[in-house]
Amino acid sequence: MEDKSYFVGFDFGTTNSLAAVFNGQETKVVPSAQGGVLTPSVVRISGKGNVLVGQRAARYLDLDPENTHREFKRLLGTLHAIDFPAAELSKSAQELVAEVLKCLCLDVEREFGFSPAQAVITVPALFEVPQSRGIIEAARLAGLNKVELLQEPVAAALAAGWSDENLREKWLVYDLGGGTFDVSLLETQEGRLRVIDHDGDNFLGGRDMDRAVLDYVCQWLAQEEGLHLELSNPDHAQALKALARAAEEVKIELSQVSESFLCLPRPLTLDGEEYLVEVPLSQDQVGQLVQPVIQKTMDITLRLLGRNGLVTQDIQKVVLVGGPTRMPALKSFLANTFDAVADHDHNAMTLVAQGAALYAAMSNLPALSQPVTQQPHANRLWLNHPAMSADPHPFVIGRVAESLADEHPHQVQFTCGDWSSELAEFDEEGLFQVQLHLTKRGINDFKLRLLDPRGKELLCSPARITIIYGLSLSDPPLSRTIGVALADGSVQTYLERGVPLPVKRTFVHKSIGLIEAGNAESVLKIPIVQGEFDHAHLCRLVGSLQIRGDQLEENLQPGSSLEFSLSCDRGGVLMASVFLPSQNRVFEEVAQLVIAKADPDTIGEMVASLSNRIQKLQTQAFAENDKRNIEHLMQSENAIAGVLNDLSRLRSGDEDAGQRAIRTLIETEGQLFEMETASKLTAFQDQNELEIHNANSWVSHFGSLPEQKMFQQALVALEKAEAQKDHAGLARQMKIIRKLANVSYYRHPESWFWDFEHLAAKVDEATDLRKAHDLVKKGRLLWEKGDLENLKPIVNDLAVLLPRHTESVRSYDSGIR
Amino acid sequence: MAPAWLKNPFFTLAISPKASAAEVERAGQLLSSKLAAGSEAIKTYSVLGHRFERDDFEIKWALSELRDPEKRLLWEFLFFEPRPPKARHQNALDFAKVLGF
Repeated sequence: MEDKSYFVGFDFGTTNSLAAVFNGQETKVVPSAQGGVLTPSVVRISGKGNVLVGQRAARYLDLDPENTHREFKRLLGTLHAIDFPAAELSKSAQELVAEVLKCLCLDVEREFGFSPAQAVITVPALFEVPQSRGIIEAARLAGLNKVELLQEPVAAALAAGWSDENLREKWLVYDLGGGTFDVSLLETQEGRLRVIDHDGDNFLGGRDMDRAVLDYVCQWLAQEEGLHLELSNPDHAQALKALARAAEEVKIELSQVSESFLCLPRPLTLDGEEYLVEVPLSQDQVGQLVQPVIQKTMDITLRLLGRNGLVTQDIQKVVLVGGPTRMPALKSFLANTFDAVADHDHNAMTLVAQGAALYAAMSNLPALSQPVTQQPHANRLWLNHPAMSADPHPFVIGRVAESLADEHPHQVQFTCGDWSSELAEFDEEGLFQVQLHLTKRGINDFKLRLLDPRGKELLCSPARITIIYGLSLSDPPLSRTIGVALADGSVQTYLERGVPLPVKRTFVHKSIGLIEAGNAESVLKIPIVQGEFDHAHLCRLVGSLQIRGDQLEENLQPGSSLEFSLSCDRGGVLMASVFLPSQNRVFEEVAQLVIAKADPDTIGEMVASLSNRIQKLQTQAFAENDKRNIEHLMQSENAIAGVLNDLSRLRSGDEDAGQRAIRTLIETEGQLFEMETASKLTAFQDQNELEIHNANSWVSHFGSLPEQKMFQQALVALEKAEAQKDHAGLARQMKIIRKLANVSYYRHPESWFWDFEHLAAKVDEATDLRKAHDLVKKGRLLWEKGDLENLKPIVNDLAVLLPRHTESVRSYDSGIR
Repeated sequence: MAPAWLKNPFFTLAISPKASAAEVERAGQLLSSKLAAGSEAIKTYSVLGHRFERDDFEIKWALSELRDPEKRLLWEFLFFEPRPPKARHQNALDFAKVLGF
């Protein structure tokens, strides 16, 4: 069998991982060396430095917990080091993920006879940029040359429906894994599976269900056995870990049986005393304990549907993914909520890996990068065509990579059964182009004929190609808005949430300060942030591009132009580059693409500050009898309580809990900020009234008809936003009104002269006094001559030299505007 | 840089605004394949004398704009045969400025 026919997909999960292979006709899940399908995402390193992965490592979770680690997926992208004291080693999350991937590659090799060099790896839809980079790095460490990332719910939907025909349906993929929850809304139309939207929570999963059971068990032990375990006590950490594992086991067991016991293989030793742990539990009890987690997932699901104008009855199919979806409590909750029957034909545990393998075929990413077994003594062709196509008439493009001596390839033809393509000749660039005809769903096999000028058939390699006719995938949407923090604390949005991937945007900015050539301490930072707010400090910093003085051959002056480009590929991997036209240099390094370490003291301070703000807003909300805000503030209080819980866990060494706490605090701060600015609406309206009045005057006198129409529309939208207390909407409409006013203003013949006078009056505040005075002198001469055209660049240069309002702390030290 | 207001996904994919959904996809696939094959001829295209670059991102952008029915309508509305009268050209430039380009 030709190697190129195999496509490999990996599902790396918080709890378990697996591999699947697609051979062009069907997907096959790769069994592990122990014969099972799932490989636990567990790594152990012994005192001798031997690495164990999967089931073999999982056995040591109780026996040797210090040197056996799990659940490191969420630590991807952080600098958190995971210790293996016996071997005197520390490993990053990337390195441990690489060990798991290596194990999966070995399983593929054992089953299929080849070790994959290229594959698709799935990631949660809301994985942050540094985490995606972490997976790519792990793949590289595992020996994979090329990987594409694919969101898990998309992979699941693909596996559930790739061979279906003529569907126009809305599907929901409900993916509850060990550590993350993703819910995606998809539709199928005209042979394409399209992701409409997705939502989720990177810190919600089966693990939280385990914690709920653990909390109950701890309460039971305190009441019945007098055993008091404390999360914040490091001496109780091992005992709590053992109980957490037992909680997971009994939770899984209670999906099948109605009653059981949580028990440990050995008595717990605590404070010198031994405790035999046997806690009775029932399926109903566990169902009630996990209800808050299930409700949280439902809130997120309804938020997703509401955002797209849908209700549960609009969904035709629900695809369940992840082990926790087998819980009876969850299944019955979903069955009561949705009319659509959850799809039981598919295995919830393996769907994602199967979808990843299919996607590898769609992306033309065969397991091996080397071409198919080559025929000796044949003309070698390079071909490009889709491996999988929803279009029955795709194109093949190709050229001759190497021709045999004395042979002159002239034309190409493809045949399949009774069908033959036209004879295609090579163009002036040496390329040929042939349109094929796919006759049936599934595999279409084409024979290739290479002819010389006399029509004689020549030997060529490859001599055949295969294209699969099936559902194809529209580009997945970006899950969170990505932008750049500007010096005044605002955000320049680059990649909007929901934009199909891959995507690239370029904007031109100006530098703020001087960057001295040769000086490594002189740095220009361009912070990259992820989030939906206009204010940088409310978004999460995911990386920054830095230009250091020692990388420059000449000074970078204030006000220099920078062309900054951000691109994001299908898997959410972000690339940044900046071009300096003044120096003809490109910088592509993105520094600090990591998530900051969670610090208990910082978190404690943030909690205190937010609690204070919540109190003030509550006083105001009660005074105004604002029921909406009262409810929102109650939710904020609950969020803070959750953060305090996570803070206790962080103090016992749970870095994961720390990251979750930070994420919750940033979200809560964003919500409080919105409430605080909404309450300042009246002042905002007064301030804007004068601006609107002036804008109206300019547009009425100097605006074109379309601009005047647009102005009226903006006024109507502004009124609506005011009535709805929609601060973001108000800001949006004011932006449009200002732009319209600006355009009209600059049509007045004297506007540039007024600008010049305004700037000249502030010349002594310029960052470069000599240059500024020079410009003012030239400007005055031009003004006296009435030379408007040459005055314009003087005004622009002068504006650049005058200081702007900067907010260093709230802009992550951004050096651009 | 070429003026942003001239950019239109129909120009990027070199197809008519009357192209069907299947023709749009096919055009995208053909151009992506030619790019992958190293064709120099398709790396740039021209509108009113302004050169635009065409890389994989641009093709993906054009496809995603035309796959969305609402966005496609707007692009059909904004499409023009590349030889507009001078007076209309000036207004279009101003209008584009208002739109933030």
